[in-house]
Amino acid sequence: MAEHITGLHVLGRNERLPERAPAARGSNRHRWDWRNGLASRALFQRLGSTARSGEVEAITAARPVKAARAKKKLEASWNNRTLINTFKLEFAMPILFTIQRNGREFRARADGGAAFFVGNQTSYSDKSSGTDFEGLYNVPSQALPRLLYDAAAQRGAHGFWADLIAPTARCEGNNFLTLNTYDRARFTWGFGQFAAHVPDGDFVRYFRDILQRTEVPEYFPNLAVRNGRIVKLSRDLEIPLETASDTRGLMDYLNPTNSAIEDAEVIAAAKLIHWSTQIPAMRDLQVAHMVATFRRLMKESDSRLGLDGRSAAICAVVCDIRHQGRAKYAAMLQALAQPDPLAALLKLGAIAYGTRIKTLRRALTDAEAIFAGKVWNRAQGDFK
Amino acid sequence: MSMSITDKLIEIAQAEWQRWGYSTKGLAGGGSKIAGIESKLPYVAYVNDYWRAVNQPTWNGNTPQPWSAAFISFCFKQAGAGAHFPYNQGHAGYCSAFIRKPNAYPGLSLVDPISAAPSVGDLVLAARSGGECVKPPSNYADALAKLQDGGWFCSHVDIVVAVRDRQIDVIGGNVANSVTMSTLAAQQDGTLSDPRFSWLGVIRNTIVR
Repeated sequence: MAEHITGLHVLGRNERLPERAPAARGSNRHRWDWRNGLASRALFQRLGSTARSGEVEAITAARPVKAARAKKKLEASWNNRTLINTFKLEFAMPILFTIQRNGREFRARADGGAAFFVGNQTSYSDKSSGTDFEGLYNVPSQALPRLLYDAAAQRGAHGFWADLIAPTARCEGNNFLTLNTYDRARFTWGFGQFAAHVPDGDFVRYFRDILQRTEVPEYFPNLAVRNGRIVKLSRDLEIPLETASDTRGLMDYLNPTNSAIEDAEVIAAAKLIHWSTQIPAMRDLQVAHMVATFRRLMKESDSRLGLDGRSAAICAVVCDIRHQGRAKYAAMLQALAQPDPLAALLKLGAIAYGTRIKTLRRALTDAEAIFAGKVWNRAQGDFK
Repeated sequence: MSMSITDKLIEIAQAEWQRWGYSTKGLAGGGSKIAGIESKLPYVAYVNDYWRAVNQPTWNGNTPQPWSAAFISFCFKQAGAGAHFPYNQGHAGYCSAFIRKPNAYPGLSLVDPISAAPSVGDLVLAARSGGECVKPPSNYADALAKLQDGGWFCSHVDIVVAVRDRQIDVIGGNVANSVTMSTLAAQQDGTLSDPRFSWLGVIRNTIVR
């Protein structure tokens, strides 16, 4: 959504536009340079005395306007006041998300548009901790758009890594819009199931990057990255939401509790779903982060398991095990020492995660031709 | 005999990067290591060096103006671009100048990043947002139209210093409050694909001196 601002500010008798704004106006917040049309909203708001709420008056030069600037509409002088010209400004405005609930199903509207599916209410009990969780999940559901990961479409950008992540993506549902807010991670997102509870983990890194994108003022106007960390902007304060050891602030922002579905949780989910649906680069960013995660997993796993020369299929299973966390290095080392290491790796966690492993096995079979002959090369840090 | 300024431009950019302590930003999901910070000594004065290139001798690392375009102007000035570069304190300012006056600046042109792969010595232009920014254009065509009209929007520009398989190294000012070398993702054909940014153009630099 955009806020259109067209206006005119006529300078008063004793009012003078600054050439060097900070010193002249006594405030560092008011940046303005008449030569380049650089202008701050704050200055507009301060000078635009007749502006209505949500609008500001636009100002440009207090000096005679040159002929070359004829495109800008010139306004005539008025009494003793200064000539100025006008132009139109367009500021990004936050999209207004509203929630619709129908039984266990949650939908949202963006700026009054068509309602779109966010997720269904679900709950489960963690037997080990005795904790009851409640939250949202959205796959499998016919209501969720099929925005699926396609390895072939990503090969130009990522080469073979686009194929290496594909089996795990399939295990996770393959959908860029996958959401789950009902477990201890509190907010898990995307086809890579990036989880918010890990400090400096995949979700945190991904979220930092989306906050660099130009659509941020429309989706998360009160979040920013400062000194490499996500902060919440609150008046003049910057409240840290994550550190090297803690993401509770970020989890609280996205999903305040695990015991109920809050508006904040639905809205945060709706924002990510809407943004990722509308902007293809948001989906590409998920892919880039999944590839980065797998590059990291390969490097770490190689140093612990000695994967140099191992097949891409074996490496894909190792990465999937690490990504899901279903076995430890000791168990993987034992599996790798077996006559058929691929089969042995696929048995790890088979009782608890049988369905996932079946999907993984099928994905590897489907990718056989692409994986054939590819082996991990430690020296190059890549497959060859 | 006229010579391209590219080698000198890269040399200047790398020297500045060294002066700031080799700040780096990796690919998406990779880490970053930021050394010199604009508000600390001696870096606060280094920013003043850049502002002087666009006739703002009182501004420095502690004044609030974004200084990435001043950094670009400084590098071109030091590289000997002379009157072939329209030094300006805003990226939109110098882009608009060379687009509107192609005869005055024949060594600079804006091309579509979807089809044009950046080369060493070129510049890459991306949109930028912020609380004080007007809504930036979302693609090359919109940006070109706006710049042809003399319009202004928040943006960022880096200098391409190295090109590899699917990766481009760039150096820019005011990146994480430092002079930083960033690694960007590219397609196999060399075109920009880094999804962290909204790419508006590749500025072809064929300036000779």
